[in-house]
Amino acid sequence: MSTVKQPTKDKASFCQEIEEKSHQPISSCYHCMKCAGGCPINFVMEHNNYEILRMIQLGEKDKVYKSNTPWLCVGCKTCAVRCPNGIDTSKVMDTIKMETMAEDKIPASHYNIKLFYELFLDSMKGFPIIGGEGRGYEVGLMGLYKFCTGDFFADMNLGKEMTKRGKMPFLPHNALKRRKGEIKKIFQRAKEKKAP
Amino acid sequence: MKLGYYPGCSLHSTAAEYNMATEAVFDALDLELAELPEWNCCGATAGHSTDRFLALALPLRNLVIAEAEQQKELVLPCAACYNLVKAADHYVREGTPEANDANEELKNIMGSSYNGTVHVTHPLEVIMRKEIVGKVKPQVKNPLKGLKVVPYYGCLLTRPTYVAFDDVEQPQAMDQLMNLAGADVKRWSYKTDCCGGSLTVPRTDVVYEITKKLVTEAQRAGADAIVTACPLCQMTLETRQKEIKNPIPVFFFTELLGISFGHPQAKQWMKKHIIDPIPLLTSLHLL
Ligand code: SF4
Ligand code: SF4
Ligand code: SF4
Ligand code: SF4
Repeated sequence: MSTVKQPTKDKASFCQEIEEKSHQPISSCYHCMKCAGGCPINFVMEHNNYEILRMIQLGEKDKVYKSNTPWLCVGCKTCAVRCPNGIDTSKVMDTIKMETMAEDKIPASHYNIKLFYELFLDSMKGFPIIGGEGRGYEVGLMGLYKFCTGDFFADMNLGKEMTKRGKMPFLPHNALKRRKGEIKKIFQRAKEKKAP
Repeated sequence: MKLGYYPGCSLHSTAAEYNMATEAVFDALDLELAELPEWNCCGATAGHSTDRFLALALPLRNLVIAEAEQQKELVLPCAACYNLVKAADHYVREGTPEANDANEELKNIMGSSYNGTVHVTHPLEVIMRKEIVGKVKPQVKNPLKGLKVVPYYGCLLTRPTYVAFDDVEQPQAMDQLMNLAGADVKRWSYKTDCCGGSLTVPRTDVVYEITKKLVTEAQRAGADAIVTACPLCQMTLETRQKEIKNPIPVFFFTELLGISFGHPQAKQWMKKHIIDPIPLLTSLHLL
């Protein structure tokens, strides 16, 4: 079986690292492709989900980091319930996203997905003056996202329709009273935990 | 019966009608919902995609509050929040090191941690309980005769297995409830396919594509409307039908139950929809 690719020792450690961080037994994947069969996003993915697992097994870190697949995975867990080896591929995808972010290697084409996630979480910390700690805030979030991407007009009509129906409050909810500051502290701890 | 209630951000904004209909239906079934004080957003996809600690700590904080309020059950109508809070509850019960760590941090911040005593649940699971589902039929004064629907469960309500309260591949709860309400439930193969919701803003193109497939398949199955149990599924399906020639309305299951109960406020809920369901309902003399 000399044609089968085998990972070298140092490459195998990449697989081990991702296995540990994602808590998923990546090395037991035998490429039955059941996960890919049910994946609703595979039509725009550069690599099928099981291909990413194979690349991890082979230690092809750069290829994995450059792929759009982890960024397009929506975490629907179809793969997770169908895998005969109990692998939750979406957790592997989340781990790859976190690693590429930590190493600052996000593919440029997917920067806006990362941006959206960051702004979403940021909006939970609340805004100066108007506040809103702890809750999602559609108007502020969409405004920031559009400002950061320069994409001002997409969904403008939808926003108007939503506002007309009283579905987009213009100011954020200020729900935290007695427990004010708890969310900010949680985010603060998250930041400290990430610092090397 | 009194139950803790975590509406989630969407039910206070984009899915206000789901909130109203759910409260109305619970009320009709003698179930009281007490909103969790000072709850926070669970972080959704943004949390679990970017930070392991936030992914656990944000949902867990709500469970700490629920326990402090002595709530035995917490009802979450948003599939995304339900999924994340249920998963956090699961990890605490399993005692994974990451969950223990997040719990410990919360103790420092909030003064107490979560002990795994709350039953995290979804309105669909609550209504399907034997002692409650029996009360549905007698309430149906306005059966949804002629309303052809397909139930759409999406992904986060049924997967992974530790959050599921129904079959993961072939859930039935909404099918059964819609039958009880008198609707004509159509069979289709896409009830648990994901709509790509979390990409709806950054990759709208992908979501248009998926929505087109889902709605086309619903129409092929003979449905005039889709029923959902999640504000995000509903919003994605309702707002991304651009390429569909004859767009179809997307309901929340509690709205249709409410209409079948003849609830006087039902028309107000319908007015909040982006795809107007009133013509369809009036043509069938249901509203
Ligand atoms: S279903 Fe599991 S074993 Fe099969 S290819 Fe996917 S991850 Fe590998
Ligand atoms: S969780 Fe991700 S990889 Fe798995 S089926 Fe869903 S989109 Fe595909
Ligand atoms: S997942 Fe969405 S609806 Fe649920 S709490 Fe978070 S922002 Fe609100
Ligand atoms: S909105 Fe889409 S991705 Fe989210 S739960 Fe519903 S089906 Fe799944």
